[in-house]
Amino acid sequence: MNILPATISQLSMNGNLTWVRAAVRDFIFQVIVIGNPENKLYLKDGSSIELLFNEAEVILGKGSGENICIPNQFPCKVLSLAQGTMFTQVFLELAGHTISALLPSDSGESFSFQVGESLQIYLRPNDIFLQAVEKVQS
Amino acid sequence: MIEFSARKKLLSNSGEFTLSLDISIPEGELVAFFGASGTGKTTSLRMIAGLTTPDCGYLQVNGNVWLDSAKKVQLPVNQRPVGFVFQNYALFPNMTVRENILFAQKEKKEKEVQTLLEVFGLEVLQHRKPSLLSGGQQQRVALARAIARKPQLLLLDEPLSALDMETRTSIQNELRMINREWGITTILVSHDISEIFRLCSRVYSFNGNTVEDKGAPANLFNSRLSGKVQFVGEVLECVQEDIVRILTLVVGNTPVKVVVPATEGDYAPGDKVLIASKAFNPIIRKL
Repeated sequence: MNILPATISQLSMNGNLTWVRAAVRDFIFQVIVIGNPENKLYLKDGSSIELLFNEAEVILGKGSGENICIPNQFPCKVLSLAQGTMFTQVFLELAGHTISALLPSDSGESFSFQVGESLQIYLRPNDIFLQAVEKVQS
Repeated sequence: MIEFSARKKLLSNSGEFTLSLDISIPEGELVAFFGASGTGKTTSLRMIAGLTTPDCGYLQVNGNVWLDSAKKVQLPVNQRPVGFVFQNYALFPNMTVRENILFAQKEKKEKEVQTLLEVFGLEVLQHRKPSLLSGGQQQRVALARAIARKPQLLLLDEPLSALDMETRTSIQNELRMINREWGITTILVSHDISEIFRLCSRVYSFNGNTVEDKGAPANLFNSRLSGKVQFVGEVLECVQEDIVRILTLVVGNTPVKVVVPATEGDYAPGDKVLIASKAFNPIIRKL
């Protein structure tokens, strides 16, 4: 599980759905959640939250990714690789934090990721969880 | 409504501590006392039943004061309308199923005994002695006997923990039905989280010295997380394959498997875990 500390910077509501923009340093993550500021008290501008996402949900790519329809696209750098037979875990530096991606080893080999290489990560808004930093009544 | 306050010095593995509780239990609800061993759950049931005396305390049940140590009021055990069911059944071995239930009644009413035998599926076993019954059957007799007293409070001290999963699920259904149909306020001591989720409307968490009213069972766990698909499970097995671990978990009665990177901490059989997914991600099919 990847966990990034973030601050909510903008909320757009539509009924019980909220589109959340949250800043991790200079990067703005977009997340969609069920709930709104009335029933989820941590959903407010300036709230400190955590963004959680599964390693297997992290998509890696080389190049700009301008033709990929995923709003969360951020540059990162390969820190290390854990090579397995079926899977490869790629550890990455993103906005000063270490995250990891779990991908099929075939993909890792065909892209031949190298330590120190700059990559782009892609995350779908519906793959990211929000977690309140301090426990609040939901 | 049950209003219960008590202070009681207890001895646990880690030394002496004072159990301090101040709780209100709504009438007719089925609630859980949840917490680690040695935190005072059974002692609290025994104090309610009058089997253990608190150092000081107050207990009011449906408007009647059973205990008020400040006023030296202490209703004796036999005057407290309580049904108590233990893990080890505690049936009279020399009596048949029917006699065990009949014995518990203040006014002997064969018709009510018959109803209880039917409710708990004990009709065909009614003339057998406890030694000829399975664990699940004996526990059904213990429950029927506890209810035969027409209690205002049903106290269940891990009554199902020694039973196999199928029997446990079956008796859980009966407990839920009894609570719904007869509205007897019931306190269940349980370590089984899935049992608490299935049965209880409210959970009181025993944390060592204090007892916290957590509200609904879901509040026991991480309600800070936004994922709308959340289950509490228990780890059955953790096997490393390649650079990932395959966890076999049980959620309710259903075994499930999830994959986590091997770098993500250690999991051991018996660990309780929260399994979460975003509401957008599960695939769902109508069966």
